[in-house]
Amino acid sequence: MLKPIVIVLLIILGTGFLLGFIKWSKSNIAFKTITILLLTTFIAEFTAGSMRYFGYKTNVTIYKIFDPVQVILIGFIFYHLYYSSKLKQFAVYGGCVALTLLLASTMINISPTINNAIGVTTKCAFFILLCLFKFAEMLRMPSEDNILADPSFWFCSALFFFYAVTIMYWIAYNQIALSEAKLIAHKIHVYCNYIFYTIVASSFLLIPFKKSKPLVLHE
Amino acid sequence: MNNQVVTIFFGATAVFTVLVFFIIFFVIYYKQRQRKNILEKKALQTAFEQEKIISGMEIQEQTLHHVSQEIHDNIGQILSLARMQLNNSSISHKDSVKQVDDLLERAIIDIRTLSHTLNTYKSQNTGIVESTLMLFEQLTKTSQFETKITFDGVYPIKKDAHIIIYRMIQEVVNNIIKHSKASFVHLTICTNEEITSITIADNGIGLNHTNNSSGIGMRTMRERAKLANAKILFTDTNGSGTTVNISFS
Repeated sequence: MLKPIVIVLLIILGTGFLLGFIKWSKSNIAFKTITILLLTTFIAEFTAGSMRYFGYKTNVTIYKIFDPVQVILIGFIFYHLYYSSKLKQFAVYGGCVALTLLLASTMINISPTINNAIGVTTKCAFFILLCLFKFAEMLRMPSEDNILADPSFWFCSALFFFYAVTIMYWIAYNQIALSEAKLIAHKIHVYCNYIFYTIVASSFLLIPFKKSKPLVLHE
Repeated sequence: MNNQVVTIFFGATAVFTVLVFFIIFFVIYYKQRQRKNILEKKALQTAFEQEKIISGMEIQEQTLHHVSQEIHDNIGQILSLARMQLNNSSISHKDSVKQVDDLLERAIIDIRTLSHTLNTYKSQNTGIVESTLMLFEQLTKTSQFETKITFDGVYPIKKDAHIIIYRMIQEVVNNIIKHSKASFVHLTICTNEEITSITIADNGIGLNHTNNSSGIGMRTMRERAKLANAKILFTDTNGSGTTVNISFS
């Protein structure tokens, strides 16, 4: 049987995907892509968990395949969340750069026993930048609606929170991996995963929503 | 081992706290910006409404001025002439009645034209293009100008703001009648689903840039165009006429 921590994560991901699927027709392109992202994450986590169950020594390869997919999907999500064309360009070109670095790093660390720490760190940095730019855009063009009822705010906050923790985890990974605190650090990261996907799944409950128009003062 | 666990625990707690505070701070700051922007938007809307009211009053004032001038210069003159004809003993009774009858008919036509010009847009369910075409039909009927009308496209949906544009077109036409000394006026209307473009070109003396009132008139029209979300462009073809283009959505 799969490990309990994997089962909990799969339940959260499955619930999120189901909510996204139920709200599919009412969702905009960004949230439809989030639903697809939850499905791909579910498949990746299930495969990774199954590999452990079937006695494989490592499941790192699954994450090496999944990471580029995640970069493309999250870049695409932000492309549709941004209003500004410059930021849309950043999502596209930044995504291309992050993807190239990630693939190059994967090629260097192709062995299934080596973690692609540099690639993951690059990916995290890209996601954090995407979130920070979205926050800046929200501040520059605040909408008239309640921000706490805006699912895109919750998605951005959860993503920012999770990847800010993840980037620190991976930066310190070499030190943590050698220490005896590895287990607790891993557990903290797993709980962050739960929090992240729970918030993303919950954000579907705030749909239906209209893409709130920013307040335009001077056209 | 304990030391490392404690370090990880406190490190993680510190990171979580910073991130949570970041999000809370963001929400508070966002709400402040939101409130400020809503207030600014309301202030802009109020200013816009006030400008619209002032412009409306100016248009009303100008219309009244136009009416009084028409009555004084045109209809008043005709009626005075009619009275003089009636009192003129040198003309036979039959001729006098005939001449007075002609003058009264002219006065009636002028009053009807004046009334029609003022009320076409508001009283009838016509849009900006139809009203402009009717205005030019009247201009043609005066026989003072040779006119040409080119219309291409569809009739745009009637909007409240179009009354301002219509009054601007009326002013352009009045200026042609009064000041241009033109013999030919060409009206071109091009419309599509997004933009309506109305161009009025004459072969008159052109814009008199040295005349201060002409400059004020153009400035007032530009301000009104801005209010009605329209664009106005004056082109002076070096003493051989003027072209005024008004485009709006």
